[in-house]
Parts: sequence; C-alpha cells; structure tokens
Amino acid sequence: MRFWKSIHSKKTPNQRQDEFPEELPVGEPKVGEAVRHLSRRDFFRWSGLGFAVSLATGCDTKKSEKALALLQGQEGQVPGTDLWYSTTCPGCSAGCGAVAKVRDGRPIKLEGNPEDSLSHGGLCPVGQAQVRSLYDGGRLRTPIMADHEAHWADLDRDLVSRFADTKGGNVRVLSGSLGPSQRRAVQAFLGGFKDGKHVTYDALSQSALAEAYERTHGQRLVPAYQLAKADLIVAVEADFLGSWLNPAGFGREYASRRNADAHMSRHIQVESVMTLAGSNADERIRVAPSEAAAFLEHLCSAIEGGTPIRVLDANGKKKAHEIAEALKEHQGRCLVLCGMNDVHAQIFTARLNKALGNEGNTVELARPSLQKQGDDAAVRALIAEMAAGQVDALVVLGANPAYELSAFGFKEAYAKVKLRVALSTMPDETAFASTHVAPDHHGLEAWRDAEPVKGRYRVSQPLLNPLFGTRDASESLLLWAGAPTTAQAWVKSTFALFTSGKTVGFASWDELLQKGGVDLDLPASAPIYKEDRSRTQSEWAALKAESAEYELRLYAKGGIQEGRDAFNPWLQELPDPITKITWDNYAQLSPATAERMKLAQGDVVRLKAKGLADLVLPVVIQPGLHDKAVGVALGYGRTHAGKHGTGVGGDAYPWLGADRHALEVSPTPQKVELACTQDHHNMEGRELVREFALAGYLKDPASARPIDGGVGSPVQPSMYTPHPKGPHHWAMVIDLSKCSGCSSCVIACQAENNIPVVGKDEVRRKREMHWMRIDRYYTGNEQDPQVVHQPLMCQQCDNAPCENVCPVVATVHSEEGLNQQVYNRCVGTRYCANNCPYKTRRFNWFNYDHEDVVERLVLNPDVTVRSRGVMEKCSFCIQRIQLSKATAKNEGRELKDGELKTACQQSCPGMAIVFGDLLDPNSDVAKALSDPKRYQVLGELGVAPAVNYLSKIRNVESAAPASGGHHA
Amino acid sequence: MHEAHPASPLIEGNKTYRQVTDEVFRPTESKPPRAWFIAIAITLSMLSLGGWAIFNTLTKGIGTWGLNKTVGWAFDITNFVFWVGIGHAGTLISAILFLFRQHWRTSINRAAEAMTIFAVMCAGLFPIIHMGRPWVGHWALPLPNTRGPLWVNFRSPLLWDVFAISTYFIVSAVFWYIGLVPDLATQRDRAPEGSTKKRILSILSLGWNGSNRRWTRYETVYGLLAGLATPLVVSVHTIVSWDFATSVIPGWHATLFPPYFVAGAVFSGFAMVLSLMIVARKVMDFEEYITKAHLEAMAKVLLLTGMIVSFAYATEFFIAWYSGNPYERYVFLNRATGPFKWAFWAMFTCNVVTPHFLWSKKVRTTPWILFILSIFVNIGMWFERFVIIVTSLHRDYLPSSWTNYTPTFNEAATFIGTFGLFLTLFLLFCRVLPMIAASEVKGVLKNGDH
Repeated sequence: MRFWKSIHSKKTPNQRQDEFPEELPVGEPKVGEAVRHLSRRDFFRWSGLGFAVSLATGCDTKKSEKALALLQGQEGQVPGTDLWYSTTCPGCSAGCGAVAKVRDGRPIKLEGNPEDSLSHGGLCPVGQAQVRSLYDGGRLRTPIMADHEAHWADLDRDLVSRFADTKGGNVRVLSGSLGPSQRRAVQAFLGGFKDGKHVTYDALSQSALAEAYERTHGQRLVPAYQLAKADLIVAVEADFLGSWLNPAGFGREYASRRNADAHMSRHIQVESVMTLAGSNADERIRVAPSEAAAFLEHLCSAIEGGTPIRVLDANGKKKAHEIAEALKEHQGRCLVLCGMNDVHAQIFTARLNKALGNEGNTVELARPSLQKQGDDAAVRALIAEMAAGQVDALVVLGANPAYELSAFGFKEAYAKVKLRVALSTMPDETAFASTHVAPDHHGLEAWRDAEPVKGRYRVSQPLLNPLFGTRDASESLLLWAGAPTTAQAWVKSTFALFTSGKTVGFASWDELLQKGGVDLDLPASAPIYKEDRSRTQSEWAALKAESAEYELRLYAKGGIQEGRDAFNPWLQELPDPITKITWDNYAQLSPATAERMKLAQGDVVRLKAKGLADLVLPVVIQPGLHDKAVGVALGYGRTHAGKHGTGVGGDAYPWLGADRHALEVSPTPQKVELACTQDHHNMEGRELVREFALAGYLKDPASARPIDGGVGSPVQPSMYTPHPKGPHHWAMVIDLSKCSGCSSCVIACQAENNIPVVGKDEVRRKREMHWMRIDRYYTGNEQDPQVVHQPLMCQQCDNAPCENVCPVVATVHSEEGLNQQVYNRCVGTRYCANNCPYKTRRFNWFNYDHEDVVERLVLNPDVTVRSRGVMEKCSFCIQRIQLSKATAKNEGRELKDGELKTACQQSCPGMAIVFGDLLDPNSDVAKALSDPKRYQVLGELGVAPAVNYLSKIRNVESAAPASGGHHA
Repeated sequence: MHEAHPASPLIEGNKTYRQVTDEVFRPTESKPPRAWFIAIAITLSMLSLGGWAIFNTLTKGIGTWGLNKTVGWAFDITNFVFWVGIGHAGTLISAILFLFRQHWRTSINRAAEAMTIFAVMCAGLFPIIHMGRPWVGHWALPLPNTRGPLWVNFRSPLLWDVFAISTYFIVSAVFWYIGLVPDLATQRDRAPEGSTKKRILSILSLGWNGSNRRWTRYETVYGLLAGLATPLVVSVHTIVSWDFATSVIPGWHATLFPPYFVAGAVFSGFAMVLSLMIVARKVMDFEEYITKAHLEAMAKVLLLTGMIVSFAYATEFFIAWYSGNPYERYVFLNRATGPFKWAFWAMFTCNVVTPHFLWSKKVRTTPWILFILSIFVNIGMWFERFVIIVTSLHRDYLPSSWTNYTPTFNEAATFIGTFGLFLTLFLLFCRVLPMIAASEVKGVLKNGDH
C-alpha cells in the first residue's frame, strides 16, 4: 500500500481500503474535530505539492483490478448513463445468467440475461433483490476475532499459525453448493492438511434425489429437467415454479408450453400444501404429506406392474391410475418431478421417468444439474465427528449452518471445535458462533463462477469495488493455504482448466465476460439404470407407514427461500404468492381442519412433537391444503439477520427431517394480526379473471371474446374531446395463462422505481407501497380450490378517473397514452386513489426511510424518491421509455418494437407481459390485442385501460366456472 | 303564505323595548357566571387536544390516521361534510326564512348564523389538514404563478369545494356582520364612556345612528344579502355532494346526491341549532325570547327534512337494486350487512326513526326530549357521512383491495378538537355579542305585527 492515512493504517499494511471506514462526513463536524485555518501561502504550497504528487503517481500504467466509482469521468463516458455488465446471479445455486445495470460505478439493477441458455432472461424475486442485499448496511465490514473487530493482518497471522498447528489434524470445510473456482480453492486449502475434507450441504436439501440416482443408476446426480419438452408434467410435492431447484429457468420453460394452442402442456400437481406450482396446475390432487411417496409407488405399479406395498384410499388409487394412464399416453414426452427429500419417493420417481422413456428426453442424466451438491449423510457424519471432538478446525463457507442445520445438532457440535472460521457476508448465526470471521464479498462484488448444469460455465465479475473491508473467500482460503492469489486470477485459471483441450467457440476472456458464460459441448454418457430393486423393496416394506392426525410439511417460500436473504427487507415485504402474507411465517391449516379445531386466521397455536422445542406460530387458513397437513415455511425465526430479519417468524429448521412426523397442534389464547396484503380471496362473481378450458377454447376461440357491452367493450361515446395523440400509444397485454404469480415483477418494480419498504406494522395497516401487485383469487370449492393470479398495476386508463378529480392537476394524461403523476405538484388529497377503480395508487403516509448512506446507494437515480404526502403509482417505467426514445433519436432511427421493456416485463420468467406501442400495427402488443382471449378488467366502466389481459386457459376438458362466468 | 303562529306571540312576557334591550345585552355587560368558566375550560381542553392532534399530523404525516391504500378518506372528510352540514341552518334561517317573512326566525337567527360561521371554520380545517402536504395547500387556489400555464383543475369537484366553501363563509360572515350593526350600535351606546370597549364598538358599528336613512339602507343591504345567500344554501352542499357524485365509486356515483345532501344538511343544521338553543335559552334566561313555539317550528323542519333524508336512503337502495349493477348492489348490501353495519344501523335509527317522535306535539314542545332527539340526529348525520364515505370505499370494485378502516386516537382527537373550537367560539360569542338580534326582535313584539 503506497498511501497511508495515519500511523494506525500504516502499521496494518494489508488493510483493505474500506469505502465506508466510518460514518460519512455528513452534517455537523464531530466534537474535537477542529477546523484548521490555512493561510493563503500554505494553501498554495500544499496544493502545489498535491499537484506534483498526483502528476508523479498518476502515471502508473499498472492495470487496476478494482472496479472503482470514478470521481472524474473518462473520455467518451457520459455521466448518468447506464453501463450493463453480464454476470451471474449470486442469489442461489441456480446460477442464472444476469446483466447488471451499473450507474456511475454502482450496480442498481439486476436483470436476467436473455442470452443465457438456462434462465433465458428471467430472474426470480431473490435474484431481483440481490442489489438490495449488496447494499445492506448491516453487512460485515471488518474481520472479527474473539468477538472483536480485527485487522486482516492480525486475523491472517493468527489463522495461519493456528492452521500450521493443526497440519496433522482434522480440518473440515462445510459449505453450500459452490461454483468450480470456490470448490478448487477449498481443495487447495484442504490439501495442506493431513486429513482435510470438504462437506457440502443445501439448506433446502435434495440429497435424497442424488442418492436415489446413485442407487438406481450408480451415480450420485441431480438430473437436469427439461420442462419445455414435456407435454405432461406430474409434479409431486415439487414447487418447481417457486422454490425447487431453478424456479426462474423452469418458469420460462414451463410458460413456453402454456400458450393456448394444441401444444399446450398439461400439468398435474400432487401435493399436501398449496405451492406456487400447485396453484398453476391444470389439475391438483391433495395428498397427506405421508401419502405422497405411496402415491408415487402406486403410479409406479400402475405403469410397471406389481402390487404396491402401501395402501392409498380409494380416491388416491383412482387418481394414481388416471395419472398413470395419462403418463402412458405421453411416453418420452412427459415428466415426473418429486421435490421430497425422501430417498424412496425419489427412487420411484427415477423409476417412473425411466419406465416412461423420459431419460434423455425430458430428464437429462448425461449432463446433470450441479445445483444441489449437498449430501445429508456426509453432514451427519461431520457433525458426529465434531460432537466427538475429532474435528480440529472447521471453516464454514457461504452457508449458515448454525441456523440451517439445527436439526442435525450443528450448533452444539460446533462449540466442540476449537478453531471455527466463518467466511460470511453477514453477521449471521454462524458468524456469531465462530472464533474467527473473515468477511466475504457479496456475490456482486466478487470474482466467482458457477456451473449450474454440467458443462454450462458461468462467470461473475465484480460490479463495484467492495464496499467494506471484506475479502473474497477464495482469496482468504488460498492465502491461508500459503498460495495467495487474486480471485480474478483464480477464476481465470479455473476457466483455463475447464476449457483446456476443448473448443470454446470464442476468442478471449474478455468475450467470456461480455457473454457471462459459455456452454461447453462436453462428451457425456448417461448412466444406465441398474437398481437393486430387492433392496428398495425390503427397505420400503420395513418402513412403517406413519400416518397421524396432523403431519408437518415444511416448505420454502419463493421470496425468503431457505432464509439466507432474510435480512433483505424487499423479500420480507414481498407478499407470499399464495397467502399474500408478508414479514412472517405461520402454521397453515386447511379450512376443514381449522373449523374442526375452531381456529381462526391469526390464532396462535403451539406445535408440539416429541424431542423438539415447541414451535409457536399464528394460524393461516389455506384453501387447498390437505386436511392432515400443517404447512410451515422455513427461513424464518432467525436470531441474527440484521435489523430487518431478526426475530421475524418462527424457526422451523429444528423440525427438518421431522417432516411428516406426527405433531400435536394445541391452541393458545393469543391472537396476532398478520401482515397480509389481500384479505378477500373471492371474486364475488365479478368477471375480473376470465378463465376457459383449453378444449372448448380450441374448438371455438371466438367464444372467449367478451360479449359486447360487457367486459372489454369499446369505449363509449364521450362528451369530452379525446386526448391529443402523439407518435406512440403505450399499452400492455398480460397473459394470465403464462403468469405463474411468482412475484419477480414485484421486486423488479421495487428495484427500478425506488419503492420504499414500509415494515410489518404498516403492511398490517394496508399501506404497502408496491406499484405492482399480484391479486390472487380462489375459485370453486374452498377445500380444493383453483387459483388464479392477476398482476395488477396502474392501468393507464385513457379516460382516467384519477385525472379529472385532482384539484391541482398533479395527475395528467400524456399524448402517449400515459397517465402521469407529477410528484412535485401533488398536494396529497388522495381523491385520485379513492376514485381509482383498480386501487393501484399508493400514498406516502410518512417519509419512508432512505437515510442509510449505504442502503440508499441502491436507489435508481432516474426515478424520483417521493417524500411524504404525495401519491405515486406505476408509470409504465417512463424513465425507460424516455431513455429508449432518446437513444433512438440520437441514433437517427425509429424506436424498434421490443427494444423497450418495462421492469416487470423484463423480469417475468413466464414472458407473460407484452408491452409496446399500440400505434405500430406490427408490434407484439398490437398483435396481442387482437387475440380473442383479450379483455379489460372493469372495461365496462369506460375508463379505457391501456393494460389488457388474455383470459386464463387451463388445459382441461371443461372449466370450473372461474369468476361465476357472468354478471350476477 | 300564512302567518307563522298566529295564535301565540313570538316573544312572551309582554316585553317593552327597554326590557328587551336590557335583557339581551345583559350577558355582554356582566361578569360570566362560574358555570361559563367551567364550560370554557372544558372546551379549551378539547381544543388543545385537537391542536396536539393536528400538530402530530402535520409533523409526522397522514400515516397518524387510520387510512390505508383503499380507504383514502374517512374521519377527515366525514367531519368536513358534517360541519358544513351544520353550517347550513344559519343561512337558511337568516336568509330563506327572511325572504319568506317567517318572523319567528328573529329570535334565533343571530345565534344560528354565528353557529354557521363557527361550523364552517371547523369544516374548512379538514380540507387543509387532510392534504398530504398542507404547506402547499395554496396550490388549490387559482393564484398566478411563475410556473408557466400551471393552473388549477376546474374539472375537479375539490376545486369547486374550495370556491363553494370560501364563498359561503365570506357571504355568511358579511351577512351576520351587517345584521349585527344596529345591535353593535346599541351596545356601543350602553358601554361606559371612554372605555376601550366603546372605542372598538364605535368602529364596528360603522357610525350607526338609527336614523331613517340608515334603516332604509340597512334594510336594502340586508335584503340583497339575503337574496345572495339564498342560492348558496343550496349550492354549498350540492357541490360538496359532487365530491362523491362525480366519482366512479359505487355508493358515491349517484345523481340523487345533491338534493339528498342539501336535505341532510338542513336536517343536521337544525338539529344543531336546536341542541344549542335549548341549552342557551335555559342557562341565559332567554326562555321568553326563544319560546317553545320556536322550538316547535324547528322541530317541524326537522321532521320534514328527516323524512326527505329517509326517502333518499330508500331511493338509494331501490336504485342499487333496480340498476342491476353488481358493484352498486354489493355496496348497499355491504352497508347494511357488512363490517360497518353497526354504523349503518346507528345512522338508520338516528335519522329515520328519531324524527317520527316529532309527530307528537308534546314531544315538539318538551325541550329536554327535543334536546335528546336533536343530539341523536346530530350523531346520525355524522354516521351518514361516515357510512357513505367509508363503506363505499372499503369494498369497491376489486375484492383483492378490500380493506377495513379503524380510526386512530389522533383522528378522534382532531374531531374532538373541532368541537372544542366550535363550542369555545360559541361560548365567547354568547358573552361578547348580543345573542339575540335585539333590533329585529323589537320589530316582532306584539304578536309579530309591525
């Protein structure tokens, strides 16, 4: 380090420059901070010296590895313009290709990379929220040693000597599923020890899936499922659109087959709780958690022959046979998915896919998924070792086992390890339980790579200089291993190893960075089915069919997932796609069960089971839940998750593995109010979501057209002169058959439009600020309903009821058909919101918090931060419209259809949203508007909304009347 | 037109002019009794509570109220419409009854007009504080500005409100003041020589000397102002009703609203006049001026307007059913049976059932019963506005956005505060100015004949 600020930092030469070493010097000078008076001569002396020094040092041509926010612009760079860098989403192990919008050296928005062969441009809510995680003010800023902040030099010195002392001992690295470079780094680190072992786990474990393939095909693997190739999908307890494996990629593939045509796929979901995937199914079959494996066994028997060992009730048997018949009709073009971490269920699934000829078609075994590398048996073994005091040092990397592995007794065993090193980004449970904390970069600050599917190599490049005094985990491991190198060089070398002797298809490393990844055509051979059936049969027969009055089913929500991003307030405030509840987890009960137990929504219950601490949670009555099931989401009840995540909900991790176990549900006298954004779940016979059966629709598409005078009828004659028309008229069409309700758009909108987080209490008061919301309605029978999702934002009405009621003209109509809110002019009468039939306007009840100097870095400078007392709402991303128009104009051309995407549209994994210029007859939106399924919500009011919907089509013979189908 | 109450004298006790002057001006010339101080201490406490609540609102935001994404107005606009409604009786009594030569108005018009002005002051507070950014509230006025052609929105009923309320306030205040001039002169003449009071009253009474010429001019101006104020009685509440009627919200969007609101306003205004007068005539010893005949006349107005209001309720329900509009039907069903049914039935009981007691002459002439009934009507009319505003908003078109509304302490305190303001001003008025228009009462002595 050439520059030093003080003797203190001079003495710690390896100290990273922290961009926020202390609070930024804003406001009043601190006490004792004397203001020195400089004489004029002194001033010139010093500035002359400064100039000379800067000249002398500025001539350094060494390439910097830092991504610094520039103080002075470079030639050709226009301040205030966006730079887009490709990277890989650090949100989970799915490794979706992403592009990041970097403005003046700060990434402010992450979007799916449309060229990525896995996610195809979609990104899930967790991915969309990563920029907020990056700027979390509560992140670890310095290393911690013996509960005190330390300098890197001291930490390294201490650790190196301690590791040297344990050279001959047992050293373990426990991590989540890692990318190739980090795996290599772990290996390099462990190589220096006599007994070093790397153990991987996944909080939402699919270890049984890999184990099942080890037993049926002799190779531990997670298949790569090809949903786009499947005509029929049967998913058993697998929420593949919400939380299972790769929801964004699956979502895109799934939606590609949900067009209302002859190729529309059919989707049957067999599950105990209502998941996002289940809510989209054409047919949904409720089973008890304990019956799901038996259901799969019955499916197997119906297809392969043989007598099932387990018994199912008459209805279950009938359904299993019906599904088996349907599967047989789609040999090689169907897909059976199972999300249970249960080896027998997974073996049955593997057998089914084998028997149906799906291997090599919809189930890819030759190039499997590398997402879930976790091995539960290895974790158990490790924890047994630790508990026995046989582990000398444990390094935890990119995981939070102290929280996630409580069911395995990790924390108690961890205390028995002498040297406990955590490479965390957050001061989480594991960091607090460790002796040494070496803070890692956030994924967006780091050189990383990923290989979510064999041969699909993805690289992520840092988008900014690390905000705090953190260091890349690979760099830490390699430094401690005595082979220090930079993360960039390390990833580069991994890539070289990866591609050595293979044709990569492009020229340089720089090109790889531009593309974000490369798909290698690896020679591969699929493992062959060779199951020891008698072993499976005898084990399965020996397992007692455990059935109880209440059975626990643990699941993960689409936003919070395993809980690693629990500190992220965007995800905490994201309404659960099914329950619409924020900031909490709860015990879901079916309506019948709740009625029997005389429990109402919000009543607090105590879940009890032998050997486990009670779990106290509020009740949520969930239509579509199996009557035996008690559904509880993981990822809550964290004890160390920053100011937003700590203490939210109850921790169900200790119950993991107790899945399906009998439990006792006992009421308590307490009652809480849940922070729910939607209290009414019935359309009340109103035709808000139109739904048709595929069969009938294909026979007569015109039958879906709204009847004249009804929904979606043309605008009535008006006594007012129409608005002046400009060169464009922006409109949107949302295909309800393709929207899964995943809520990615909600977070994308939040990131794009600086939408504040209001907190649990304010959501309870129904004051959430989301411009984009997804209305979810149940139709049909309460016990076993169908679900519809309807994204709703400002409908940009042409005859907007909000516009004429504002006394100060703060909401006006643009000549491009937009309904514009002028924040500066708004005095806050709220009349516009009252008069909005869609209730999409949001009022700033207070000044919402944007004060944290780090957290506010996420704000999009193109969008005004609204102050208290003004109304706000969806603008159709007007900042994007303006930018695209300006770009087209600068380039002297017309705006091309499709070049302009709203944030919600861009994020949508299902590509359900089409946006564009109505006046361009060739635009996608103009074409979509002529679809016979098109209708307008509340079109009969004559408000002429610019947002149109395409009726939901379910692949069934005849539809249950969704909205009552007609006016009451 | 028949003479009002030909059988009974308007002022009882066979008073002489001298007596009238002495009795009417006595409260302004003596030290208030203990009870008055206790009363004003209570009303000032209420006012302070309201002041705190408004301070809280202004410093923290509208979030201190119980509103939410779906219910954007509740207590604020309910209170606004309630107070504007109260403010209706004054001008009706002084202007319309003046033009119709209803001489019984003379005993109550001064106090009723004062009440109107105070009520409109309370009402005017709410449109200001209900704004998210009241410090830029003047943008609702068509003021010339430097922002180019940035003007107010003449299509917005809220802007019409601004004009309607301010016009009403100004005209009412001027009308009241002009009516006060002869009495102010009397008060001036009775004030001790050289006192500050006398100097102030000399200015306020505009050099009145009781000459014929003055009286002629006075009568002309008063008549003209009465003519000017008369359309306002109808227009103010019509325009207030347009805040709702021009919207697209089921339950608001009704052509019935203007007459319905005007009738409701007169109903509530007379109820408030009754409540105040029944107390005032008792404690201020004005039972011979504000006689049971006056009370009975007002009770009859109450009965009539109450029935008009009841008819409007029935019409609303009928039209909701007859229109076949599912949203409209749902809103009215929800009013009577939904989460706010208690408010609806409170309104129904107070406004529809209560007036029918007034068919009985005994009830009409028994002050304490009348007082209770008038309070019920006041409560009912507050609930009417609450029901219209909250039940229509909380469950409108999209069931996904349906919410409930619970007021906060802050909102309740603001409402109490406006009562504090209203009553404080009224108490001060009773002791500072002649509560009864002495000059006019003198004209109707001897059985109302000139």
